[in-house]
Amino acid sequence: MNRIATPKADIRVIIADDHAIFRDGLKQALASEENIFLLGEAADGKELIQLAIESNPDVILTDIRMPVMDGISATKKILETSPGVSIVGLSMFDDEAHIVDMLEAGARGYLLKNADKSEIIDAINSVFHGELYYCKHTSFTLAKMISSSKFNPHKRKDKIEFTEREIEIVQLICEQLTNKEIAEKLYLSTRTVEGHRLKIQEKMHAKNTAGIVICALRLGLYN
Amino acid sequence: MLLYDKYLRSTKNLYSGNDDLFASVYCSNVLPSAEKSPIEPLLIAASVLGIILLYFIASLIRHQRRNVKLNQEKIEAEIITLENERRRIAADLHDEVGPMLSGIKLMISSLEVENDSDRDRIIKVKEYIDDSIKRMREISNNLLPAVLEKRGILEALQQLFVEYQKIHGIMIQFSYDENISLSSQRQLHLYRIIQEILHNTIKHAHAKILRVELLMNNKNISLYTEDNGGGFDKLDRSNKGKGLGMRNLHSRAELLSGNLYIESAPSKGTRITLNFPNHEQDSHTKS
Ligand SMILES: Nc1ncnc2c1ncn2[C@@H]1O[C@H](COP(=O)(O)OP(=O)(O)OP(=O)(O)O)[C@@H](O)[C@H]1O
Ligand SMILES: [Mg+2]
Repeated sequence: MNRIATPKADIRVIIADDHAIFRDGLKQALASEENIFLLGEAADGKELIQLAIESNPDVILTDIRMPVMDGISATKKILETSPGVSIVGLSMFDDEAHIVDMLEAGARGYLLKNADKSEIIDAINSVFHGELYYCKHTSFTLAKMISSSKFNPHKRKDKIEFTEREIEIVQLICEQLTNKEIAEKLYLSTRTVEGHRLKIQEKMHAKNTAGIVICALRLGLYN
Repeated sequence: MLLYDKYLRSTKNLYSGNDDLFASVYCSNVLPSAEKSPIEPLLIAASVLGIILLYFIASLIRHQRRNVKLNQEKIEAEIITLENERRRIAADLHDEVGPMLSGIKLMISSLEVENDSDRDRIIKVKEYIDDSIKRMREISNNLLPAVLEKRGILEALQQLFVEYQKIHGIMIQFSYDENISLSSQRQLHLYRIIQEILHNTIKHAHAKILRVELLMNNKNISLYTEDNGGGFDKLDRSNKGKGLGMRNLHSRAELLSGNLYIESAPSKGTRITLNFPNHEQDSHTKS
């Protein structure tokens, strides 16, 4: 992470979660980031809506399951009045169904709560710049559910062209092989595979493996 | 009410019609007793004894039946209590402990230390927290898979099978009717039944393939499973009383008002069929 090189735009963030301990952890993780400003925190969906109206944030990090009002309903409500805000859902690992609902409600990404600090920062920066963010720890089941859901905000203007090799590599990535394993399988050097992977990621606008898998599933490159 | 009235009337008729009959029987019993023969008291005693014995046997059977029914009800109540407890614990783990551990991990990650060994220690602690979260997830999911209530039995089973294929290297062929939908209680019973069959197949059968079919016609849902493993002798006593699995299988089948057939023989694999009505029946309402 070299964040000093380019001066970054300030990102104004609010967080919502019903667990004080988790909010506290999140707050401290964001505190060390120079370009991230925490505007406030909410303990449920209702509070979140209120806070969003008052403080007009750039990015919202919100738990999906909360008392009083859940993150899904809050997301819909907030996006009705302020469509510009980028919302990231937070959830415990096996809440696949809710994650999909959250994306369909208009969230731009999701994180599992056991994500590392660096990933959370990464996600905030990504959605702020208009990209989507799928958590690194996305299971194949979840990837499948997302790719076949109504959530499909990619611009489908230009069709993506892949080389044979790239398609081959995409399929192996979907099978959860590492660069090294792919290299061995295809008799290539790991460096070459890394190069291909970067190219693929660029073409798919994917941030990580999860993004590649979801895109591949959606394009029918793998099933 | 109407029925009851009718019943009363008909019994009344019966009694009044039988009045003379009673009288005549009574007379015929009393009159001959004047000239005592030695066999008759014996006969009377024998028939009285017989009647008492019959009554005794009848009430014994009735008692036994009631016991079986009570026992079944007890097991069913046990199962329902068990499931409620499981649900509560799974939810508490998932909803309370999970976020707490995650929060603690984030706090640890934001510590900034100069010392290398402290940094290593922080990394270690983070790993430990990750392990705890992972373990907690497994425990919670074993108690009650969250997907079952949210997305229904078909998706829950698909997830279960994907996981088991990955972990245990068994091939599971699952075919189903997409229109199957059950109340949350009933799908939980069905899920547990299939889970137990799967556990047994992994644990005992050493099968390579397990086939699971879940079909529906307008009246019934049927589950059919077949493994190509070692099978077992159903009559072999050493298999009986070993585990709770089979007992619970039957109780849950009962809870679904279903019929369960288990067909197995050594080295012939195991086939299990369960048929139960598509809609809830009243057979289990308290009497
Ligand atoms: N699919 C199968 N293939 C071979 N043997 C089986 C199979 N299913 C059950 N059995 C036999 O039947 C016995 C009873 O099964 P049951 O599920 O009641 O108990 P368990 O699996 O041993 O213990 P528990 O289910 O309580 O963990 C098993 O011990 C095993 O010998
Ligand atoms: Mg068993």
